[in-house]
Amino acid sequence: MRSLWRLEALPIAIENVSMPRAVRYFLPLEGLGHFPTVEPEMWSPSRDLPMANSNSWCVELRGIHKYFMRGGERLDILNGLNLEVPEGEFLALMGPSGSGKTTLLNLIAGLDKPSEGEVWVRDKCISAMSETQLARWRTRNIGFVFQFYHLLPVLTAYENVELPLLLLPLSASQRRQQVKMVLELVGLKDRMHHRPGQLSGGQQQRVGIARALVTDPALILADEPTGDLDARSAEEILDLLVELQRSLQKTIILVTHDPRAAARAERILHLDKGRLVDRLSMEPPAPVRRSPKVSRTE
Amino acid sequence: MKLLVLVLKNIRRNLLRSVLTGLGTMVLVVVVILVWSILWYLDQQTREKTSNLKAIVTERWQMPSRMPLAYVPELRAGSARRPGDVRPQDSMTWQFYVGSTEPGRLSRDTALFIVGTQPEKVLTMFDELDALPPESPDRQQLEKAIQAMKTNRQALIVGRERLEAINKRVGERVKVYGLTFKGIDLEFDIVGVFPDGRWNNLAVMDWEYLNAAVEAYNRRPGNRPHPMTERSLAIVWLKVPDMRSFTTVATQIANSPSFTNPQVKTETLASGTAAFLEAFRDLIWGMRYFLMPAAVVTLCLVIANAISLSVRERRKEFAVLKVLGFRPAHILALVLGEALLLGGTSGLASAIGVYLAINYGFDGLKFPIGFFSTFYIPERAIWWGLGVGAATALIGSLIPAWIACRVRVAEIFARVG
Repeated sequence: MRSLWRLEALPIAIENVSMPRAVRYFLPLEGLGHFPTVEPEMWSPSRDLPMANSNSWCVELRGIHKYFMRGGERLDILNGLNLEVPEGEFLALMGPSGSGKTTLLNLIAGLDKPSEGEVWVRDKCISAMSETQLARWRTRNIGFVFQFYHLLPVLTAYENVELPLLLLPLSASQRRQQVKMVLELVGLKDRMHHRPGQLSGGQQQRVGIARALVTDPALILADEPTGDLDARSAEEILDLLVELQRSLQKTIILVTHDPRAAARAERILHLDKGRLVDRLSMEPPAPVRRSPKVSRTE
Repeated sequence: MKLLVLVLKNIRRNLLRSVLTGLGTMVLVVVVILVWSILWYLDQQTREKTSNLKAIVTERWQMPSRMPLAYVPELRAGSARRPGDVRPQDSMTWQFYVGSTEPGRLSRDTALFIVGTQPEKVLTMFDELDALPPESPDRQQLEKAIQAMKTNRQALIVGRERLEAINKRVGERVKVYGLTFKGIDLEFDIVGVFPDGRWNNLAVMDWEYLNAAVEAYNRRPGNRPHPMTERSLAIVWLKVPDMRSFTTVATQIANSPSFTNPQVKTETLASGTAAFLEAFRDLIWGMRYFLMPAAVVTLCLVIANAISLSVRERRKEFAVLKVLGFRPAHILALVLGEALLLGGTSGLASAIGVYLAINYGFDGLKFPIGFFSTFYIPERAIWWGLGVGAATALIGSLIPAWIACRVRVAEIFARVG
């Protein structure tokens, strides 16, 4: 039986690096590979993780312009934006309200199309895809975490997480296995039959994250995932995102207003008036080198 | 299957609205089924058969038909005179005697509409009674009554509703004061009752009793011949095997020199019924082209309103589904599925309910149109209910479903970013 959960590469990564607490989430899971027993104290917050695919960009934006026409007037949201995000990177996008962060996230998710320019995600130009193609592509390639969770209130946590899997050719038992695995991963296995109304904000966001992870996408987009949470819950969610990125090599793009949340990312970019700028110099940021590992150890 | 579960859960989400929409659908489906059942039955009665036809011979130019009794022998033979002419398989005559059980007072509770005919024809020529299975209690009861009519000229078989209206029972005696045959009052022994249905408001007597009473009236000293003497025959029924025989018999009658004053016409029962129903043309037109469409359109609007509200409330959810990879077709199917399920099940439940209530609870729908007084809901109406509920739900939810599937994710989640 083929598992959607592509953890085959994970044991290799685990052998080479010290692993965070995320390892503990995987240890109870059966049939997913052999994971070494790693004690929590072995975890050190170093950032020298090897990348699953360090020779290609996960996301590449080329000359992106986005504008809207309002009452005959052109409203520019993004102005000639270029961005490269390497595979496995945890990137934080910050910026004031109206700077175009969410628009940028929507473009990367294929939820909106640029007025000019190209959006490439994992060697696919998604800005040229039709709506139907994008929908199919999103199922397997994008996990989206919302600020307000946006869980379907009539469905249980389990059913909410299962939703994206309904679109894939999986048997009921495959879906069940997959859903239980991610719910365990986010620490909500004992709440899987609870409805959103019966869960706290932090728990709902964990369900949202599980839903984003369940199809094993390479790219997780998180739009203010801690914006509606108290400090403690926010910290837990950020811990979870960091662990997912480190242990599963997910590329995460986090949009946030919160500097503490952004500080958890490997790289922080600022958006201002539709342009990416270095916050201090207000200059366009220096390009990321092709090998993210090298750039981080410099 | 999982999508069906999602559809069900969405219906359950706002239970009050779903229940109210379902109830609205049920009420309107009841209206549609009642009207449809009446129209369907009338259509059946006016639809030409191709075999076992019944032809009716009536006066050509006048309504109600009044023909002399002298026409009877030749008409019952289908005017077959020469070798090779076609003879009807069976025949009967009808004379109408209308009277009241109370002298000088005609009301719903006293009126009796009595057909004078040959008693033995009740089970061979009367519509629906001729199809009663031999073992049915209704047929056996009627056979007994007919047997009684053969020995007792004053015997009378009465429809259930009429019997109830005049407050009489089988075995009792009733005196009827003639209205169409003024001055000729008849006494009857009630010997049987028609099975529930089409003949609920009719009564049948031996024609010889009526004709003997007319003769007795004419013989009474000082009496002039009764005005109905030469015009008491209303209808002659002829049974023919097929349309070709019918055409031949109709031609034979039309070419006969015997029927010149008054002239007669021969038509099939279906066309005769249709001609009779002409008097109710406006009512039937209103039911067919106004009441039915109005109910169907209202049903569409009820569903459209409920689904529109539901879609408007869930725009963000549809956007989330799109983010998760649901395609517009999926969302279209979800919304249409909700409407179809709600409309279809409500329609089906309503149809089953009205079928059971009308046919078994109320003993038919009392809606007198001409000589049709009681209508029943046919079994096929159950499928009409399902079809009407589902079809109107589909039509009513098309626009809301289209709006739902065209939701633009970026616009729904547009906020200061």
